[in-house]
Amino acid sequence: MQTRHFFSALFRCSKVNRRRRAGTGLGQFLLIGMMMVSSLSLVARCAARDLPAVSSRNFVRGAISRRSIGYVDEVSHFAAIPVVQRRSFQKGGEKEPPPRKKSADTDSLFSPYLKCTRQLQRGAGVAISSLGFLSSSVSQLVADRAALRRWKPTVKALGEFMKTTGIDLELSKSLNGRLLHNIVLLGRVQSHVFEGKDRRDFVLRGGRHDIPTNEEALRYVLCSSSSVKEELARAGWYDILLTKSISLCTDTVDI
Amino acid sequence: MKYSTAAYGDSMITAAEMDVTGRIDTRVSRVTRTRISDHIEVPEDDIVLLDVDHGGSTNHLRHFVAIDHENKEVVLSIRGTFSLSEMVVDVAGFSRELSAVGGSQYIFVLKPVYISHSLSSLYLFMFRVGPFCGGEAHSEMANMAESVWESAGLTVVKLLKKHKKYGFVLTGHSLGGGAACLLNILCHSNGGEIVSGRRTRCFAYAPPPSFTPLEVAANAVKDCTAYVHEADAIPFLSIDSVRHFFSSIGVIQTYAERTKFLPQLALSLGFADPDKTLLDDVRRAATKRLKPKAGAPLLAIPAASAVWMRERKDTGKFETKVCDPRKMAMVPIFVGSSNMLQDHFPPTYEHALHNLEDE
Repeated sequence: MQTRHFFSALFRCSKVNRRRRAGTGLGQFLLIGMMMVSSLSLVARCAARDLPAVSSRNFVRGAISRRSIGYVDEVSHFAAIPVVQRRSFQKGGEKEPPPRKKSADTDSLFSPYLKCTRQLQRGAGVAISSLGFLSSSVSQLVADRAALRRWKPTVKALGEFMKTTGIDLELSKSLNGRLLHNIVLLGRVQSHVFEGKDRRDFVLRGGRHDIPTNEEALRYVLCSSSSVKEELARAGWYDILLTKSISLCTDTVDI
Repeated sequence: MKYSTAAYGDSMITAAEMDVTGRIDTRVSRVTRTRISDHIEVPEDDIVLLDVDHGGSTNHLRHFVAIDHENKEVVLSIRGTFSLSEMVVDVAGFSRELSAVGGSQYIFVLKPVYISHSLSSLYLFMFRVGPFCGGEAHSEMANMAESVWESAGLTVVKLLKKHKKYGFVLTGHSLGGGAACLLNILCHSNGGEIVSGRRTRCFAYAPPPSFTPLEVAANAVKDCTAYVHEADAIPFLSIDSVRHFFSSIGVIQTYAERTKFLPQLALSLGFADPDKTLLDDVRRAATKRLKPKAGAPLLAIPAASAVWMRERKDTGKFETKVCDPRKMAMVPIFVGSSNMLQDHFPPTYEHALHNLEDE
């Protein structure tokens, strides 16, 4: 009886405070995320001995007035480090010098370092991407839960499609508690099947083909990742920053 | 206190507001615009339409329209999966016959909202009726492609009318790439009627298979290029490929039922090699074509070429091979790499394209 009272009291309490607690929880979630992003940013900048071109001085003043600022001007952390202007559309701004060519010897010398940095790069990128996805999903859940109801008919239609075509039966044979283990096993077998082979060689396109230049491909991938809002744009920046840090180190050895 | 919090930056302000009010401000901030402008190297004023709010309408995918004066292009970029509702779009992969835009098969409806916008922008809004040359497309992705056009089409058309010599570029990553490919087909139908006959090109990064048969949209396919990064599994995901994948899983399950646990564990941990019979069975299951089901055809990426990038272990540079999307549609889903999801993220694509070997 007492237990029942305890739980009902707890439930009432949670009901009253649910909104407040949800807010606090999400606030803490965002705070931890921000600290992670900020730390990664500092690590990347330390490694790169560089500051991103998105110098906050461009917009911090206006943004603070709207209570929505981007980076705090971190020149205060690294006062002696010069800001590099990267934006080519800034008229009168100095353009970056062309990258120096690296010798194969320095590359091999720094091979373990390169691998380690690449792993760090990937880790940072993936962590930020995942965090962005999570925050986006949570935002949607909190800000516009009704929007998810829009998808009910779609999910229902998918279920009916699977049922009428018999695909659900096909899939359900393998959908069991061992699925994950079976996927791992399949992965191992597939690795053996394609060992020493390039999967691309099986699907090569014959004949003449016109593909866009590398420059064009890069230009539009920037547009694509930008539309995933700033989290991924930021992740892209770490990637570039850390790549810069590698070239900086290898350049130093060249000298 | 507000000043003190503001000094920490955007994320801290969002966290504080969340704590106090229990709500998240999902509006596009000036920071976002500045950051996007900086990232794509286009002045802020040239980002004409920006719809990338987390809390925006779920009736269409997030997108933005920018005008690139340097390269004389109007660019429509569509965002990929970045929330739960977009995951639903991905999963609803049964096909629907894609409607065309314009021509005798279509009904033109004058939409009052556009008329009120301005008399000069009387805009013909198209509803889908009937099939498009027998083409079948990923159901929700096709809906999203049309919805994005409903949202951004007017702006794009206006810009193209204003800048007579500019081309139109569609781009997107993942789900956005798939939607961009389908929108590319719509923009090419009837001689590019909806884009005033302007040349439309599409750059799709990691798009899932979304259309079949490619022959019915030959012009659109010719102007579309897809990019695939190393072990990324998404460009191979469709209901058809999932069926084939589960067929392979069935072979593994049969093996697991007749084998003791320890040899299985040794194989999964990499301490033992699979026997020849198992290799042959998996190979056979992967290549044997299952009978297609209605609504789950063999979809392909509607592009002329797919540039598949792979990192050279020695130099860290990426080398490319030009592949045929039709053949790629039959490639089994590969789960032998631990990077199959990691390689899908936009930063890894950017990294690869930043480090491509010289052409």
